[in-house]
Amino acid sequence: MGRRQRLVAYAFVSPWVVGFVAFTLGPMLLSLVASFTDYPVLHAADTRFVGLANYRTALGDHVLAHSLVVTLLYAVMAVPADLAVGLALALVLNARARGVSVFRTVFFLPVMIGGAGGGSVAVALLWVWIFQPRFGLLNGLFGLVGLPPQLWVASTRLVVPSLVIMSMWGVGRTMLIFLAGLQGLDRDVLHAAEMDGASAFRRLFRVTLPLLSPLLLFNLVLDLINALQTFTQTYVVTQGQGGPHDASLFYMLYLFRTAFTDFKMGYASALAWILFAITLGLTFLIFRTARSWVFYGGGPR
Amino acid sequence: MHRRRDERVDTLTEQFRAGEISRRHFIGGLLGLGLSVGSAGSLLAACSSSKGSSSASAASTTSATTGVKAVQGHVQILVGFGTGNTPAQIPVQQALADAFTKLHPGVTIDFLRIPSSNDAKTKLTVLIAGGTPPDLIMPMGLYGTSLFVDQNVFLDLGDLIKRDGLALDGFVPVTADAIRVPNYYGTSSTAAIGLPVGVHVHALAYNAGLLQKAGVTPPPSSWDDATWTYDKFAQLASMLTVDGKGRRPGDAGFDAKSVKQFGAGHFFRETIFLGYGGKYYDPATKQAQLGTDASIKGIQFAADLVNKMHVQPSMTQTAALGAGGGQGNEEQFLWRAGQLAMIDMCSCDIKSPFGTDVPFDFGAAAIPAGPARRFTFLNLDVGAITQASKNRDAAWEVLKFFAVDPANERKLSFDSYGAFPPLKINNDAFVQGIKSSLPKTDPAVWQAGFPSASPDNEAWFPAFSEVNTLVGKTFDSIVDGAAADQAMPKLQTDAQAKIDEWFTTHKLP
Repeated sequence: MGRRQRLVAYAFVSPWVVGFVAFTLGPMLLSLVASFTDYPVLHAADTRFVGLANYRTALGDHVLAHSLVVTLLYAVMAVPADLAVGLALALVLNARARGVSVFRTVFFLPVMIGGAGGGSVAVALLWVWIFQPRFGLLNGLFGLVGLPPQLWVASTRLVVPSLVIMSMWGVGRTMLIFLAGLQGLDRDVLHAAEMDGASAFRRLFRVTLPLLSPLLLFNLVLDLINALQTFTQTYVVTQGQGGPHDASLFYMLYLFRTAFTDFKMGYASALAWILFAITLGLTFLIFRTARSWVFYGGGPR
Repeated sequence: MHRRRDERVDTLTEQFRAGEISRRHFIGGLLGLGLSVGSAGSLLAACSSSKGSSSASAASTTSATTGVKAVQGHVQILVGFGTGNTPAQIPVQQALADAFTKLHPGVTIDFLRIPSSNDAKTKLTVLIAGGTPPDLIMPMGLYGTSLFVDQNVFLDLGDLIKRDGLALDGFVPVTADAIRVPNYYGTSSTAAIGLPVGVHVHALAYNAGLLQKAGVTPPPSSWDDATWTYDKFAQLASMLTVDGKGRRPGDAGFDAKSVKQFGAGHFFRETIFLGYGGKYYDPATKQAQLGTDASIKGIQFAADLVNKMHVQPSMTQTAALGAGGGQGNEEQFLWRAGQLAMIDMCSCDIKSPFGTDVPFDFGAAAIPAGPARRFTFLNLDVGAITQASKNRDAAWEVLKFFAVDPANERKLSFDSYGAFPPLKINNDAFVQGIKSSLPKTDPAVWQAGFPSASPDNEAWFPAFSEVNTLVGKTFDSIVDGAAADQAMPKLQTDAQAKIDEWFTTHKLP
């Protein structure tokens, strides 16, 4: 590649680089610096360096611990649910049937409004009405099958499971990725298994899933990151309170409250970096275990 | 001496109203009696307003109240804390802004409207942190003010008030006291966080039909009736509580889980906490006061109404029974459905679904007295100038025009915000206005509650936001069944730790 070609290439890539540095890397580094300061956001002139004090405070912060438990509880429910439902839908919609493309579109459409995890304000407001205890759709369905109505997001017991149900709004993204994977599977391998007498169940668990495992890993990591960063849903549904009784005080909501209600931007920055470290640690663990369950075609299992 | 001057002022006012003396003689006479230019202008505006020449009065009043000071610049008014953004409210504010800019062509005014208080809080923080603060925040509840009070957000208006000779005794006393924020500025300071622009007070509303059906006498409307106490209130509430089989608390077989009509609801636990003599903070000792005997007993009594006496629904019962009202409107739904016999009603709710088109007649009574005092909530809105405003002078003139000029204040407070105007001269406007639109409601009971009102329910204390969160959670847990004598000492320790931490990084002015 000649010098001129390199310059042209850099010119083309530069908008992204400038955007990344200005709007992602720069703020990240600033927040890293801020995490070592007492930074009262409304009178920044009083900012002072406090070393690791914010991180030490976090270690003894019971509310933070509670918010982490709530977030992990949500992740433990939401991530497997998204993977299972997404995969199930993909398997069904992978069938060669008439009109299946319409169903594929229908299942993906909600993602266009709400993004992955249903994390948009509009979708959250919609779900507020679906969960409405007296007139809501969910309790209406419960009534049809003779089940008692529930308080859903107004119940300390049900608020997190309700948000998990809400996250299913974005299952179309997971479904689409699995579907793309299924469409790209080597048909010869599946035929060979069928001719060897493998049942549909065995073909799914012994052939299809291993072949899809790289996508499973991809979706798992993305879902985990999304779950740990859950904010919009709980902010809208609980009107920023994380209620009832802090039962839905997610990590990001606590971080937001620290920054914009308690005005402790330095501590909030430290919380952001702690979440980054937790996410990185969990992702690292997943990648470490992936060696034993992810199968890459052509590579060792 | 003052009395004689007041009589002379009254005479001059009557003469001017009757057209016996000119505007110039009227103002000259008032100034001769030692009234400030602002006070004279206020009286002039009030007289002009009552004569129906509103536009002319606005012009002349402004000249007087603002001392025809030439100001210029751009004033941005943030509207988002509680009220001020409904379609009916906006034109009134805009008309006042237009009237001001007509008098001061060098000034432009725009309104930054944020639809919810939560978002307004975030927006204000971001705007100030980003170096683009709004100039005026109006209206802004004391709670919102408290959150920001120690963050260098507001300009202390004390010097400007003194400079322009504004007489704060023209405001309802409790509102003039509240803007001093004594816990922060000190009890003897003349500092002021803003000017009052609208005020509400709470009273007890009762479902007249349910009381009649139960054969009980309605609670007294007088705020001076010493026999009307929390214990009497609890007794009355008990007589008005009925379970699914028509049994009352105390009857054999009463089922607290199947109550279909509660004696009380929407009754603020903080009211009882403060009525018992509970306190959040003592500025003299810089100590939280949440572990005191009065604090513990107060919140325990509030919880007992729910858990022991079963006369008030728990939070879970409210959520379940009032679900038809939608999120945040559960109690309103229960009240309208006739399932709550007595509620604590803010005057701000008279024109909300709590008080308008209610399918039964309701009466108003005084809030009962606690063992320490009779306490009722005050909800005060102020107009505040931001410390970082680049147009302070213009913002101050705008604020005076809106909040001090009686004709304008009346329009802003009642016509736009639907509140009691804090200026004494206009305070009746709320009562008259409500009576004309809702003849069955007697807002005078609310007005009579002002002497029992106190801003203690929203008063600032150090580490306000964090301590408030702790208090809210602890009160929740106690009303849910935790023992106050165990939970409150822990709250005291936790809150004091936050307060002590606050003092390590902050100083009082």
